[in-house]
Amino acid sequence: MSSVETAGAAPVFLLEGVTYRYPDGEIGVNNLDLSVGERERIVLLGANGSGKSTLLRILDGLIFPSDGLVHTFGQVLNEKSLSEEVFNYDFRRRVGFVFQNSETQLFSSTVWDEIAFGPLHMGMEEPEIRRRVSEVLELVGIEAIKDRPPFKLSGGEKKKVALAAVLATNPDVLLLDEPTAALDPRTERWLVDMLIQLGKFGKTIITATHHLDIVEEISDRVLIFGEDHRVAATGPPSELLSEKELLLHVNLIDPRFHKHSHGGDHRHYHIHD
Amino acid sequence: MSEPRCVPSWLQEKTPAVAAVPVRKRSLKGGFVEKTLHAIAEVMKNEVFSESLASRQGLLQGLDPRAKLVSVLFLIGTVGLFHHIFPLVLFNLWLFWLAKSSRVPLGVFTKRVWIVVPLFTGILVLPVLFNVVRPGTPLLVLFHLSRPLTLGYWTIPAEVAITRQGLAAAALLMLRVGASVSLAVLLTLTTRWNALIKALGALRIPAIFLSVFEMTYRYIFLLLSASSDMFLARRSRLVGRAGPREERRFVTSAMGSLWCKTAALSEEVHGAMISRGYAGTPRSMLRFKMKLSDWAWIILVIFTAILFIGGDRVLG
Repeated sequence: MSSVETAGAAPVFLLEGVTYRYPDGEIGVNNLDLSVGERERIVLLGANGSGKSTLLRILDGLIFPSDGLVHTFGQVLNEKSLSEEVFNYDFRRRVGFVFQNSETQLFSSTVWDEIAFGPLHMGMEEPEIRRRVSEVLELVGIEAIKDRPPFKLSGGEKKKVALAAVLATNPDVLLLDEPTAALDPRTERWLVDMLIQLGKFGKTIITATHHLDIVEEISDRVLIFGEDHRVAATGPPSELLSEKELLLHVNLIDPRFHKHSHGGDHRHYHIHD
Repeated sequence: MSEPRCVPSWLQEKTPAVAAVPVRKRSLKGGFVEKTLHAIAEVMKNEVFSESLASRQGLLQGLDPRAKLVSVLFLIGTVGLFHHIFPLVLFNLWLFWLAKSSRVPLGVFTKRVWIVVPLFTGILVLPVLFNVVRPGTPLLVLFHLSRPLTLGYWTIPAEVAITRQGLAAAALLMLRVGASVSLAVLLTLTTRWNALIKALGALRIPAIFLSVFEMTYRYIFLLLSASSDMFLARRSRLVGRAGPREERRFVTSAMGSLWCKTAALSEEVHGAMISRGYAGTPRSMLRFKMKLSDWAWIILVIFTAILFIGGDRVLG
């Protein structure tokens, strides 16, 4: 990618020549240029270790590029800008991150406290926090488990709590790392429907996934990462997912992998012997 | 990506059943791994049991955790004021009544208090029983020496015996410790851990300590579950039984691996906290509300304490 990928609306994130190297010198993201527009729904596709999760962490300001710049909400996103109280508050309020491992994200002692954590640390008033928590519990359908400790929940419930905890701060941008990993088909469907709904409300949603079946439903644009940690291709999901050679080249699929269409919008991908 | 091309011939064969175990024939029970797995399962079981007790409908479960915490601390302070055995016995019986009213199984309660207390406190107070340590009226003479022995400042009397005063002092201490432990056991068995930590916040304990307690408790179970998985995975791959040296090697490498997992996890958790607005100062919200019954409980506790201590003073 040499040129900046520009979406139609004003960019929420603008990345210029971003490279991230781990402390041992290994490359995580390689010379990435990207523009993410407001209300855009983007899916990051790529083989394991291609840099999707690293990019999400950069976008959430948890790690910072070794080279290049990230612009967000009119500021450069780096350690210095995030040490400013006002920008930090504004950025954390507007960007929510759902981690791949729900265990990481669920650190409070009850589901209620977990959901209240974000609003509480953003300085909301107590009655407002109570109202939000109650509404988010209802939206996600987890009122019955509100007093339970998160470590005793099932994988699907943990994922719902993790999403509810992020939604409680009403972020404009949602970053999701492998949100459907290890979910049963019913919970996976629930999550996809929720992401579609959130997209309609104008949220910017960036999802890293391996799950090709859901890509067309939850994205307007796809970025495919190669094993060299560079963006190998970008474009509408229907176009890119039809390029079997490209998907083979980035080691995302097997040669026997192919797409089925059953009429309407539904397509799915699987292997035949 | 392509399918595996060359599957070795041995992998294509069916494993025959063995007629005899080709390793030393020893019991698979009792190894370190088994014991650790058992201990982890016990901790998990206890947690589930405590959780179920805390959610029962009982006297103490229905109280505001702050009222319960303050009243338990007050009663533990009161226990130290008893001078006589009889009122202390009555007080301990009252605690049994509290346990029963809170639907705590009396077997569990007795086991947690009256097996642990004699074991630990009993060892501490054992010397006080004998006139070798504390002179007094002999109750049971153990043996006679030809004459008193003097070792520096210490004199062993000719008649070594258990004394009345020693027995009374030991019983008083055991009953006091028993009452204090009973109160602590009742508090922890009838209160959810998270509610207890929040109640500590009402005593103005700094939020940072409460956060650390809360997260420690939360992640202990995650790490226990990770350790259990690690030990189970080893068991599933272990044919026969490893020797002690091999077991030690496994335990040290498991400790190292768990340590690395903990370090990685703490970084991830910190990232998740920052992502949701944490800026170095933990904040907490109390969701408790004092009811009329909580105030009534506090009055009852004060009244009970006055009654018992008053009775104790009447005895002298």
